[in-house]
Amino acid sequence: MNKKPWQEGKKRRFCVVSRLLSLFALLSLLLPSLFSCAPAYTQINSYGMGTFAVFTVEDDEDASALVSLLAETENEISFRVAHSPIAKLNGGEEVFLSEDLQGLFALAASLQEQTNGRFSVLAQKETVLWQFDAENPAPPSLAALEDAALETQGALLTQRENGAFSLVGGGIDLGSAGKGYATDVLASYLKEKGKTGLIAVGGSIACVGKKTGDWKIGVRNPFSQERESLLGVLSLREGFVSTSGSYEKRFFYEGKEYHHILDAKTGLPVENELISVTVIATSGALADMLSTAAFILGLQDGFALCQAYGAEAIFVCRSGSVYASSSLSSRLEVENFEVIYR
Amino acid sequence: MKDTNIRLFRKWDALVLLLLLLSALIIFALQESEEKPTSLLVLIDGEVVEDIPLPKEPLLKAYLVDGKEITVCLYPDGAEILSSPCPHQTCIKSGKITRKGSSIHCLPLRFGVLLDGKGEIDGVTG
Repeated sequence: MNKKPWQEGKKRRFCVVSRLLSLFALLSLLLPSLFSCAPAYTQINSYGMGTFAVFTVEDDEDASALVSLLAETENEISFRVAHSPIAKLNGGEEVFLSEDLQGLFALAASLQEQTNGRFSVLAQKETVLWQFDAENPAPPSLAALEDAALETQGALLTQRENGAFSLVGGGIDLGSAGKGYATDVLASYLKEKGKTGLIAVGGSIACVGKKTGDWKIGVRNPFSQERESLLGVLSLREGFVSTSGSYEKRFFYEGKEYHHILDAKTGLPVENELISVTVIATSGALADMLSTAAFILGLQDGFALCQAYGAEAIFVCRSGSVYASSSLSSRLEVENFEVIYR
Repeated sequence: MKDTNIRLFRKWDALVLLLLLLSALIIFALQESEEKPTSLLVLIDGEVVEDIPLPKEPLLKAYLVDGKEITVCLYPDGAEILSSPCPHQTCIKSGKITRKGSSIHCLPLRFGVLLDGKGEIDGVTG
């Protein structure tokens, strides 16, 4: 007996509904898998270089390697580590430096020249006078600072005929470059392995590619001490970011603020309109040093300096004004502040 | 025999399909975007020493690091360091953290607390 048309229709609708339910089941299983095709990242936390480091990488093995590399880098560049190349140079010895370190010092020398000596990595005689980590810190005497600053201005790091380096006068303190340099070393490790990830050594960050989308880098709100208070969020897939801010390390003495960003010509904390400078550059050492150098120079000259080195920057003034490179306008989300792009 | 011209899909079939697709997407989105952290990791020297579920009521925890005591308060939505012997008390001034992936550190003691999970922010500069 032939089926009636309405029975045929009912049967077909049943088929359709069955197919739809199957589709739903498939989607429920498939969607998570589709989105998890991008590599899951593992995060490892560590302490090193006097700060907190976070490595967001594809493999646990890479994370462990980065922890070791960070320790090795600290042993290479910290003047506080006995027998480090830097400690030896400060002690008057001749030292053969790695190519990476030679590159770092060449860049530092360039910035020293561009800032007319106000930025210097040879200012250790001045920096050690400031005991920011002491329980009751107080500013050093002006006489002591003057002597130390004179020594810095006369300091010279030279390469001998045999290729070894020696330091005459002053002392090397890579505080304004070390974390950025460390991100360079660690980022190179990932790049050589063809891996992506994010490396954060304190506030110096290296973005080493990302399979999907951009890394989201929060820029601290310099007007708040709260950890989660952000000025804005920067989207970055590749590149290096560093921030120098007077709020990071400071003390108050007899009602006056003393922060850690020193003018190498005087040994005194820089006094200008700025409270923080964030730099985005093609290397960690450059981002780190440039953020300090630009802070020292102030808004106008600091901005010009960043442009001269092909870097992008965000300048935050004590007044609350925020200036940023125009190329950041599509990659920087800021709330509660008005940004002037230039 | 009259040709009834039975259609494979009617309007309500399309509606059902759309609803099912939306449901699948919503279920997926809900799974992926749980905003609130659920536990606090306590780190000493970079190693996780404790993983504490966030409590329903505020909970005080004290830790001894190199013979020095540091206290942490856990809340249903986050945590903060309440007391520390470090000179500048930066860890205390950092306030309360509530976002997944946020952390506070007492660098002199190499002590830190970290809210579990992956937040929207991958790193913080400054």
